[in-house]
Amino acid sequence: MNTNRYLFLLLSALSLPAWAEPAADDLTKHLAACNVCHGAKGEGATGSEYYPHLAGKPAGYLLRQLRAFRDGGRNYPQMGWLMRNMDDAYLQAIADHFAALPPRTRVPGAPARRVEPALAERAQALIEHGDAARGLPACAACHGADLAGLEPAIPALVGLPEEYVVAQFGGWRTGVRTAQQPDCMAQIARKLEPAEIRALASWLSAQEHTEPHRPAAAGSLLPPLACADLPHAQVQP
Amino acid sequence: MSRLRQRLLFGTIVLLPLLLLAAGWISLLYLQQGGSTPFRVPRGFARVVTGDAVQIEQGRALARIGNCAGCHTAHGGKAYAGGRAFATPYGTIYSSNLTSHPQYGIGAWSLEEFRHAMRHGVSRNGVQSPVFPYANFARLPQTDVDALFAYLATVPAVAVTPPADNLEFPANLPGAMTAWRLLYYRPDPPHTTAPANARGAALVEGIGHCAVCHGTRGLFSSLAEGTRLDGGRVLGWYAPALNAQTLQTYAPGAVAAYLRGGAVDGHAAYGKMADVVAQNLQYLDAADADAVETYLRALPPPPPSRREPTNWELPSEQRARGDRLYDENCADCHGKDGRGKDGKYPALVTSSAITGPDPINAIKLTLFGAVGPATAQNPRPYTMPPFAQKLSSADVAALVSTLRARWGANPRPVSPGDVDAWGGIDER
Repeated sequence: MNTNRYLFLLLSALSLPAWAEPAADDLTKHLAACNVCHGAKGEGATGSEYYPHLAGKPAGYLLRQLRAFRDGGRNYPQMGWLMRNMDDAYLQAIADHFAALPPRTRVPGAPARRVEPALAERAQALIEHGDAARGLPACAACHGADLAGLEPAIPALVGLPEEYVVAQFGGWRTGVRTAQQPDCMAQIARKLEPAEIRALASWLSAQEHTEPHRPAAAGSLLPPLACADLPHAQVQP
Repeated sequence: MSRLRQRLLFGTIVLLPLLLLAAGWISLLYLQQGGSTPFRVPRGFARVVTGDAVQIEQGRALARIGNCAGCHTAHGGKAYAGGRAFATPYGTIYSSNLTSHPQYGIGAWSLEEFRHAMRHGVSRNGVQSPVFPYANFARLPQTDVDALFAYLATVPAVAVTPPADNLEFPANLPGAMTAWRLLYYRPDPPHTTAPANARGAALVEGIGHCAVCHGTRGLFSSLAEGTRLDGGRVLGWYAPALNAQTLQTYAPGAVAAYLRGGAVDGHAAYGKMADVVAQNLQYLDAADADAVETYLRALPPPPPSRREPTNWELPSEQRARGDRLYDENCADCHGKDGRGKDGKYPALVTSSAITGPDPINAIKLTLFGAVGPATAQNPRPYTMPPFAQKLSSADVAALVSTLRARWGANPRPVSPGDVDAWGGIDER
C-alpha cells in the first residue's frame, strides 16, 4: 500500500513538467520561427503533408529531437540552421513549452481524411498486435493504447502527416535518422515492408490528437523493446 | 655567321636578361615572405610537455577566444579531431587533427615545431594553406603559443585522419601553396592601431584573427597587407567592414555587448557571426570586449572608391511589390519604419545586411530565418521565421531590393537569379 503511494507520488512528480502551466516568461513570442511550420499553438501546419504537430508531446521526446537536429542525428537543414546556436537550456525551455500546450492537430471542424478500408485494416493489425513472427511489437505496446505517447520520451503517433511518417521510416532504414543505441525504431523500420509503412502513415494521418489524449504517465506501461536509455521489459522477443 | 651562332647571340641578348629579371623578382619575393627561415622546420627536438596547470588553463582560454575547436572539429565529430570542410573558391580544404594523438594528431610535435607552424604556417606537413590564419598567429607572444601547446597536449587523442583536400586549379598544382606564399604572404605587416590599445590589437589582429573573414580578399584569396577590416564575402556570407564609420550606429558599449552575446535593441549576431559569438566571443570578459570595441572604432574607413557610382533605379512595380511584402510579412516585428520594436526586434535601417554593399545576408536571412546565439547575456533569443516556403525568388528579390533602396546607399537591385544563386542554406 505504502509502496504504491510512493510510486504514485514519484510518477506524478516525473510527469509534472509536461502538465505544468506555461512559464511566466511565455516563449510564444520568442518562437515565431517555429510557428510557420508547426503552427502558433504547436498544431502543425494545417493541410500540410509534412510538418508534424508538437503540442502535448512528451518534453523528453521533444528535447531529444531538438538536440538531434542541432547535433546531427536528424538531418533537416532548416531545423539544423535555426537550432545550431541554441544551448541545451534553451532547447529544454522550448521542449517544455510545446509539451505543455494541449494536444491539437487540426483546425476544429476541418474534415478528417478517409483511409481505404484495406489499408486501415493492415495498419490497425500492426498497431494493436504487431507481428511476433518478424519480431515486430505492437505500436501500442510502446506508444500507448491510444497512441498518444508515453512519458518521458515516447511520442504520440496519431495525427502525424502521412509523408512525414513515410519520410521518418525512410530515414531510419537508410541511416539518415539515427538515435541513441539501441535505436529501436531503426530496427523496426528495417523489418517493415514499404506497403506497411504506407498503410501506417495513411491511417495515422487520418486520426486526430486532441485532449484528453495526453502521453501516458511514466512507468504506466513497460515497452517490450530496448530503446535508447528508456525503461523496458527485460524479455527477449 | 652560322645559324647556331645567330641563335646563341639572340639567346644571350634577349632571353638572358629576361631570365635574370625573373630570377631577381623571385629572389625578391622569396626575401619578402621571410627568406629561408619559414622553410626550415625544426626537427629533432624532444617533445617536452610541462603539464603546468596554470599554463594549460591559459591555453584553454586562448583556444576558446581563437575558436581553434570551431575550425578543427567536424560537425558531430570529436573535439579537435579535424575534418571540418571549408569550401573555398579553390576547392574544399579540410581542417587537420590537433589532438594529442602521435600519429594522426600533433602528439609527436616538439614545442619548437609547434611554435614554427604557428609563426610561419609551415610544418612537417608542408606549407599550409592560408585558410590557417598564421599571419595572425605570427603576432602572438611566445608565451601564448607555448600555453596553446600545453593545452593541446591535454586534448584526448583521436585516431582519425581528416579527408584529403580536394583542390581545384591552380591550387592543386605542386608548389601552389609555396607560390601563394611568395606572392602574398608578408610577415609582420604594419599595425593600423595606436599602441595605446595593445590589448585590443592583440585580440583582433592576433588570437581573434578577425581579418580572415572581415578582411577584403584580392586575387587568389589574398588578404591585403596590414590589418584592415574592409569587409568581404566568406563561406557564403558577407562579413561587414569594421571601422569608425560602419560602427557609428552602435551606441557606446553596444559593440562589446554584441560580441559577448547580448541582444542590443534586438540586434544580435546572425549567420556565420552567430557561430563565432556562440562558440567563442561570448566568453570574452568585459574588459577584453571593451578593448576590441575601442580598437575597431579607431580603425579608419577605407578611402572612397574612385569608380563613378552607378545610378541604379529600382523599377516602380518591383518597389510596389517590395513595399507590399514588407507590410504583410515584416512590419509586425521590424516596424513600419524599419526601426525595430520593443528592443526585441532588430532595426533594419541600421543593419549591415540592408545598408551594406552586399545583399547576400539579407537574402539568406529572409529565406531561412534567423536566431541569435543563446548566451548568458541573451539566453532565450527571439527567432525570425523562414520565408522560403512562402515567398518566391522574385518576391525575395523585390523585398530585399526595396529595403536596400529605402535604407541603403543606392545599391544594385537584386535579381531572382541572385536569390537562387546565393540563397543556399548552410549545412554543417
